[in-house]
Amino acid sequence: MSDARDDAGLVRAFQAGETGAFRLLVERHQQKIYRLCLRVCRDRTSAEDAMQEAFINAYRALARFRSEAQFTTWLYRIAYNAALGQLRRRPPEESVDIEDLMPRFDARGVYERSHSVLGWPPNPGRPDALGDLLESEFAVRLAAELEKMPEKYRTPFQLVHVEGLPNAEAAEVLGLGVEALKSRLHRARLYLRERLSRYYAGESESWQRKGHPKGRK
Amino acid sequence: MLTCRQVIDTLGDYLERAPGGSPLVDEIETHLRLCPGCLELWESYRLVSRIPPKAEEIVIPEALANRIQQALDGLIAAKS
Repeated sequence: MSDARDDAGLVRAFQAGETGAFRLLVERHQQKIYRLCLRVCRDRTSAEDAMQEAFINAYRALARFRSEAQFTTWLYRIAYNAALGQLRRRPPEESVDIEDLMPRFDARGVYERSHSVLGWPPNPGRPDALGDLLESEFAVRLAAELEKMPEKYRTPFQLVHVEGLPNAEAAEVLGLGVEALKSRLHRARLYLRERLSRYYAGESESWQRKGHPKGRK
Repeated sequence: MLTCRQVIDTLGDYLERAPGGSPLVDEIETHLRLCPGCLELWESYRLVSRIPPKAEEIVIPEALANRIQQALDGLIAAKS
């Protein structure tokens, strides 16, 4: 059922005693909340439990919600905490040492490139079918590498670069300062570009081993 | 001229820079013109931020939506 009232209107209605207004808020936001829970937990059962817990917690807390915050940010934050709670109940993820994937510098601060790959980075901006293909391949590979990234970096990246939240809102959801969020985003981008660089380097070597001496184009 | 380390450390701000530029932007761009390693890093850094990762579309299962509504029914009934 749709309702013309905005989130703030539904929150006010709920706080005035119209409990059914909460159902409408759930219907409106459940898709986004499920996506967030699944992205944090990376397992459907935990994500479903986190989502249920999030909406129950939100229902119980909504009477105290004050409109200085945006409802969606507040709800995202509750869901993120519920998803993190689920994650903590599981054995720790195999940890990836992100430091190994950060750029290295010599004593003078000069960048030491780990790979120099012909065709890297790909140029998906080119306006032809090859551009589309490169973009599609890159996007699939990017999603795969994102999945392997530690949660600490993965969720900020997803909130900002996939869900499109502004930095300030993503920081609020995650309970971070904006500078801390920016630092995690920076490291996430460096991690991803290094992982993809290694992937394309491997692909280029494999291409050359198969007898294509000019490498990947 | 900025070092590679200084340039790479500020790429996040450079990526999100407001139009109009600043003296630091000019210095970063000068460095990128002269340093192929940093230019390659910058191009791939920008690319991972620009292209949306392509993963399976996430759609809430109907059974889960029903489960949530039933949980809410319980809460609302308990309240009234």
